Amino acid sequence: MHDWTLLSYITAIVIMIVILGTAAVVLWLIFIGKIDLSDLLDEPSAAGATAASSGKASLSRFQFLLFTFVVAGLFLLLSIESGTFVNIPSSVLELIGISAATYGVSKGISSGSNGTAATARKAAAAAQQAADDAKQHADSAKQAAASVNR
Amino acid sequence: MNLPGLAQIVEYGLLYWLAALAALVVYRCLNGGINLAGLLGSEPQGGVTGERVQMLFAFLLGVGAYLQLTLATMSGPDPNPHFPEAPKELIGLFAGSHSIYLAGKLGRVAQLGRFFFSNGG
Repeated sequence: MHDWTLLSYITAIVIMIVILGTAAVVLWLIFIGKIDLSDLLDEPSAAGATAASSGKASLSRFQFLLFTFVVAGLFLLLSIESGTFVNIPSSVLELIGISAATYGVSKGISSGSNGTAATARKAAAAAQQAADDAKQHADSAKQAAASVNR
Repeated sequence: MNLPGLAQIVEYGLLYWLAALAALVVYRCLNGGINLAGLLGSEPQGGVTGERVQMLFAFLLGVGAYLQLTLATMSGPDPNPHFPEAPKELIGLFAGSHSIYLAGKLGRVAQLGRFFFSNGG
């Protein structure tokens, strides 16, 4: 029985070191800039998560981040105060759901609108190219007409 | 040290870690390390839009009210503090303001799509 107590004690210490060690390493890497947070709140520039950021902060991301911090902080604080894991009531889960759903829907809308904008940019580039070609044709036609008149 | 004591060390450690992470994010937001341009507008350098302002205001108001409710529960006579139920009004405020925000965003996208397709796109 004593061996099992010792084993559980050692296991708990190892788990504690792994959890807190990982948390500390992540925080340190963020602090020295190895984990880049500059695009944390940015909307993607085009459909797909691999695209570069648009340079515009997203309000839905901001509120989701802030709400996650608040709920996680309160959960830890209440767990410490009561000495056990506290239950999260369904009304708070509803608030988290609203916050997360807004983030998801907003991301979907942004991807769609960026797709439309990308199509519009392509169409504008093609129109510009056609206009340049037409100008070249007009110039050469003018030159030909001038040489005929001479 | 017993096992509950170790668990409490982890809980305090994670609480301080979360606080440090939040402080780091706030610091980066303030010194420009995290981009906040266009947070209240539909374009990075665009003006402020009403639906975003109302959502930010309603969100901060709601979070503040719930924080205050939770802290009041913690300082009350209950020896085992717990998450208080969020009032129906708060859920309604959240759902309403978030819906207005999404409707505004969707309207803007629909407007852009109509403009593009009506101009020969």
